[in-house]
Amino acid sequence: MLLPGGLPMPLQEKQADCYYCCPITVNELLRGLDAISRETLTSLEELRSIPPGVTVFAPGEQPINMYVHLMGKAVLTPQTGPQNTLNPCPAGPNRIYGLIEALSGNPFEASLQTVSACQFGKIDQAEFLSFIRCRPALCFKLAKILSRSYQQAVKLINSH
Amino acid sequence: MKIAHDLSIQDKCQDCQLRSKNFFCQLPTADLQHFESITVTKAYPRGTMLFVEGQSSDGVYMLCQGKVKLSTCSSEGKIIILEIADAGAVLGLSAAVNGIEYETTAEVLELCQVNYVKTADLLEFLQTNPEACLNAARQLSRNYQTAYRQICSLGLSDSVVGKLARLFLDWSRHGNAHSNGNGLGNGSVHLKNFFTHEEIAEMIGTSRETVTRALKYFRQNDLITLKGSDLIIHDQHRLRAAIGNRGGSSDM
Repeated sequence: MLLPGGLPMPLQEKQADCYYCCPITVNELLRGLDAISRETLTSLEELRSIPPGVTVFAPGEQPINMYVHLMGKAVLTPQTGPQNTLNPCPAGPNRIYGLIEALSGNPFEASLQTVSACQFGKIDQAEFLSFIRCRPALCFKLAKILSRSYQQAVKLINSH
Repeated sequence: MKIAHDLSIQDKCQDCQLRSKNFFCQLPTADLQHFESITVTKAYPRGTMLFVEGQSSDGVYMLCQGKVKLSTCSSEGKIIILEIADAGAVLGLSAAVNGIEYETTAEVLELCQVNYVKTADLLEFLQTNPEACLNAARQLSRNYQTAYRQICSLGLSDSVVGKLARLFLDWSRHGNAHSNGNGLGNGSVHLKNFFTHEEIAEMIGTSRETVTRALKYFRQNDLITLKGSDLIIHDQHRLRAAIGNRGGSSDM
């Protein structure tokens, strides 16, 4: 999160919360993808309608699926340990959850709970990894997005 | 601490006995051969700066043996340790992928062996090798998660006592390679700690003096024993309870 002028905001609890919001959006993932690949990716997605008040995933869970947030409101609550949760941050459509966990192999470190009726596209993690494994250009794009996010994270740490 | 004759250089990836699950170690044979052709094997002693924050990125360092400290420096001159990299980590990857300056400083903590790859060679390898490219994305996602955890840790309004307790509990929970955790039963654990008070302070974003005071508080309250490099946590549950506790002192 940046102040006008591009300076990172001082590191405080609220900013720490919101930083977990996945840096990868659906638009970024699809941009530049050829029509056949888009179609293949869409075919991997299983649409799920979820009512309000449901926990989509919780901290500590291994990510078997990724979730593409299509519609509705949800909140993301990062957790740093058994006794520590940070302030919830609003989660809106266009985000992809579980992609970073699918790549890193680490469990979720936040919970996602629906506030209103939501629609998610559920994608099996193993199928997604097979999909990107065959597309080095897409892999490389993901690597660049993650690099930029890492660099922003380091700038935020520097502002502490 | 490793000294020169402790390091057995492994310059052939295929014959290497140190292959880890990370990054390029598990690539198919043909890809591994190609990777070997673009790497230069080097050994560096403790204290060597592999690269410095802000320096133009010219290549990446794949850490085969040893440990490297990754840190960043704020505009006020405060050093913060982001992580201690172990064998299998690729240092400088983020800067190489985006063609910018190194975001961190990498300092060798113990004698290490690295495979150095020039940026141009690495990018060509990644763009023609999907498995390697996927592994690069994996490494970067782990880096991102590590940075996120550090942001949370620094941003939490815990006291220094709480942050230090959290750090020791993390070491014991993850069987940290820098701190070999041996469970002693009854919630106690024996760790090996090779970090100075200054380095611990840099990990949790405080001063060396405050860490010294916090450690004294832990000892006085029988939470830990620290003798040389031996750190014994007497009761993890009691140490966990210290998180959120100001430790009886307003400056901790």
